[in-house]
Amino acid sequence: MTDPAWPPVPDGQYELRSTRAAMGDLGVPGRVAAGDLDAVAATTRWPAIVEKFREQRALDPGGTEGPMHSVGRGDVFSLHGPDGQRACTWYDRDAGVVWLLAFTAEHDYVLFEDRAKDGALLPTEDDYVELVVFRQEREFEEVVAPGVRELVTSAVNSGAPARGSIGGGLLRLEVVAEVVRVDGVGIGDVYLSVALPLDDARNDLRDWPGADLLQRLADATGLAGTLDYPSKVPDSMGTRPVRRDEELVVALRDDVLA
Amino acid sequence: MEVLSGVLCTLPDARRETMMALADRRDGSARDLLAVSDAIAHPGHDRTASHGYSCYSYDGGPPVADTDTPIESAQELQRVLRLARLRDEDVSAKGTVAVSFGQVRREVSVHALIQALGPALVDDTAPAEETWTPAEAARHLGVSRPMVYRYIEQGLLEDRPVGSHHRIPVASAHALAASRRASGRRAVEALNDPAQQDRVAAARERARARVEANRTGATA
Repeated sequence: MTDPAWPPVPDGQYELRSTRAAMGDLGVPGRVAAGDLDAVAATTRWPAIVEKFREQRALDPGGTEGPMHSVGRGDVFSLHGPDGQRACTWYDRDAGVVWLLAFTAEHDYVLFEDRAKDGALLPTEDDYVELVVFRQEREFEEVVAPGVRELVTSAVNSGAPARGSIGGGLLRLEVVAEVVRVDGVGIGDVYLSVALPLDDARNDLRDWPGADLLQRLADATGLAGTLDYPSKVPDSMGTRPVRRDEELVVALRDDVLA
Repeated sequence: MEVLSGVLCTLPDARRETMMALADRRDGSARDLLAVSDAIAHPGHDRTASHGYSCYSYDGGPPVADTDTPIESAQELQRVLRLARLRDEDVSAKGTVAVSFGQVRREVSVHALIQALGPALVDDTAPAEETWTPAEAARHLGVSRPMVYRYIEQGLLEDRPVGSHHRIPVASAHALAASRRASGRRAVEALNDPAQQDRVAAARERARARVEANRTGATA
């Protein structure tokens, strides 16, 4: 099963975060979340470098100042702030993060080089622990909605069942759409079937909906059809009974689908 | 609540039920909710039927407003929701507003209401129709532009395209940013919560794998 903590990240899709070391350099209190750049900027004496990090790295993970070869690797990039302020950043493709690694108010790279020598420049275990827990703390809909919508779109457009593992392996879902087109408008029912047993990874999700799973999955479709819990599901032979021991099924009926 | 109740009162009973049920959903894009939002943004409907309507705010955490104080006006509802959105996202994530209308009673999440009614709420920092380019949204959210496009595709951000250009409603970006900030705060709390140490230990195993991979990559 795909590890929900480290799903594959398409190149170029990343978020910006600060390491705890950089936050210490910036004098940011420990209660501030590492990904909350608003709070980091609001609590440091040097907000300009945080804003520069956000402005530049949102556009380009490498920025414009060039790599810092003096730290022993060519993928750590310098970031220049006002009055000689210096920071360095690293694009962690596997995690989908550009990290603000370190900061100094002086025009001096010794701090960065010393940390690199000590193996303490890149994100630490604690930085990744916070990242993992942060991603687990996202709302259920945020984790599953993209996969649900993708399968619904596929089922509606193709007319064939769409199956897939969504939420980084959290749920195995099959979507069947029965669509009637009237004057170019598709109207019909969408069936969502969740395979049992459910994956243990759900226990890592703070917002796991429990008994409300089907309702919340229906919400995640973005459709506004009437909610129904059917006893039969369309298949190639017409319909089949819901297999109670193997699946949970919900239907959204009479919705405008395309 | 007179504005919202006015909207409700103009709807048939069954429709009211449906609207209230939809209000409990987290997807603020539901058409009925948008219709209500539009109605609030452009009032002028009959408000005389608001008699008997009341709305109370409460939640399990910090109070959204004065706990157990009836919300008796649209202005008060707006004030509560603005406070919830601007002051503390944890409240908006956990808080509920109990809405009674005749025999109908629903506990509507403040988060859902903010999402649903966001464009209609008065917010000095986010005019109702203001939009951002993907680059502006990326900067605000602290992500790359491709992530913004991905969020749009995934339905996490709304899009109001102008021609072939994406335009993201500021309220939509604010809502996602607020959700992320709340997640970040909860993560920090979890790291320091003895009751969650098993979970943190499991996260640490994953973190170790990542650090080791970085170390290997550095020496390769």
